[in-house]
Amino acid sequence: MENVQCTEQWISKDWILERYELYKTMLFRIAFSYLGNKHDCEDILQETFIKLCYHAPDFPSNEDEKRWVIRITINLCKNHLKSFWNNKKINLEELEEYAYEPEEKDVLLDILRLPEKYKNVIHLYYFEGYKISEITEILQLGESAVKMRLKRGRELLKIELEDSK
Amino acid sequence: MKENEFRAIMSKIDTDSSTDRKITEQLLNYQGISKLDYTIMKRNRQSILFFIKRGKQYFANVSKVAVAIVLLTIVGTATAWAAASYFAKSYNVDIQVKTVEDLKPLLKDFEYSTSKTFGAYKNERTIYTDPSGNVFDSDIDGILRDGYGNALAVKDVYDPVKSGNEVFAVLGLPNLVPTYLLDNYTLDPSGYSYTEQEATEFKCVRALFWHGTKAVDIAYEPIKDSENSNTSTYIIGVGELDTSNYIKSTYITKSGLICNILDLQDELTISAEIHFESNTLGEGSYILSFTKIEMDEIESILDSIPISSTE
Repeated sequence: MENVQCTEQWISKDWILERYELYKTMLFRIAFSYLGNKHDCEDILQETFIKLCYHAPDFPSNEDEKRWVIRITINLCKNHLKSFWNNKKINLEELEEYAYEPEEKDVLLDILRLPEKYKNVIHLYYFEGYKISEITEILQLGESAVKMRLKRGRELLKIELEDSK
Repeated sequence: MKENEFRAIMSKIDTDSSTDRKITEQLLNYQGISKLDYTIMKRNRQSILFFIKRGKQYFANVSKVAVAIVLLTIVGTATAWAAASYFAKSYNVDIQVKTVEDLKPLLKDFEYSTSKTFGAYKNERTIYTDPSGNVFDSDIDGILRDGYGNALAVKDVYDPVKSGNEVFAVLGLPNLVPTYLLDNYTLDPSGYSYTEQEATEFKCVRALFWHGTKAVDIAYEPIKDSENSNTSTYIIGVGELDTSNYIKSTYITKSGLICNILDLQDELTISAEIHFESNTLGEGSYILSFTKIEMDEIESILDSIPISSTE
C-alpha cells in the first residue's frame, strides 16, 4: 500500500485578516477592561494576533481557538500591568473616546477598577455569552467560584439582574 | 443599572480604523518563521516522505542480520568514518510531479473522502476507508493511521533524538549528513529519526535542520537496484501549484556526485535527489528538500555530502 499525505491549504493573507475581523472586538474589550487605554490595547492585540497567526498550536475546533486567544489576551494584559513601566493610572480623557455620557464613563471606570478575578468572569458572561460551566473551563475555576465571582462582580458594578435572565 | 444597559455601554468599546490598519499591517509584514513558511515546510516534509516511499519495488539492501552485524562494527568505527568521504556511482533520476488527485488511482482498494478540520492550520485531511469499513487517516507525516491513531504497518524503532552517527549506524552506514549543515545549521529539536515499515521493508533516516527561516529536510533510504530506479515522484497538494511550472535540472557536486534537482518555482522549495551505488555504502536514495534557500547555498550544502563519485 502507498502512503498518502493529507492535503493542506496554505495559510493566506485572507486567513489572517479573517481571524483579525473575527476576534478584534472581543479581544480589544478584554484588553480595555484591564488597561483602559487604546495604545496599550493595540500592543496587546498585536502580540495576541502574532501568536495566533504565527505561533499557535493546531486547534481541534474554532471554539478551542477562541478560548486560546482569550486566555492569551488575559495573560498578556496581566503581564503588561506587572511591568515596571505601567503605573496603572487611568487616563480619563481616553475614556471619553468610548463613553459619551458621564454615567457611561463611571461604568468604564468601575470596570477598570474591578478586581481582576471578577473582571474576567463578567466579561465572558456578559459579552461573549459563555455559560457558567464554560467559564469554568476557560478560566480553569470551580463552578461555585465562578458563580461567586459573577455575583460579586455584579454587586460591585451595581448591575441589576433582569427578569428575562 | 440593568444588564442590557451595561452591555450597551461596553459595546461602544471597539477598535477604530487606525488601530485595524496598524495591527493588520504588522501582522501581514511580520518577520520570523511564519506559519506560512511552516506550512510549506510541513508540506515539503510530507512530499519528501512520499518521495521516498514511492516504490514497492524498493527493498532494503541490508538484511536485518546484516544490520545487526554491521551495527556492532560501526559503533566502534563511527569516529574513524566521520571525517571520511565515501565513493559511489550516482545516477540520473527523472523526477515527476503529481498531485494528490493523481495518487488516488493507486489506492484501488480504498475508498476516500475528505474531511476538514478547522484548526489554525486549516488542515484538509483525506480519510480512507478499507473494504471492511475501517477508517484510516493520514497524519502529519503521511502515515496512515486507524481510528485509534495506531500507525498502519509502520513503527519507529528508535527514540528520535539520536546522534547522526547512531541513526545512520542502524542502517550500517557512516554519518552521511552534509558537513555544511552540521557546521552552519541547527538540528531541529525533534532530532534524527529512523523509521521502518515492516510490510514493505521500507527504512528511512530523516532529520530537519534550521538556520533562521531556512530549513533543510534530509531523508536517506537504502534501496535496491539504484541503476534501474530512474524515476521518482514528488507529490503536491491539489491546487497548490501549477504542476507544469516546475524546472528540473542536474547539479554535479565538486566531488562528481549527480544531484537531480526539482525547483517548484514557488521561490521556496527546491529538492535534490541522489541515487547511488557503492561497495562500502550499498545502494541508496538521498533526498534533500530546501525551503527558502538560494541555489548558491544549496550547491554548498550538496558539495559537503561526504560521498565522492567513482567516475
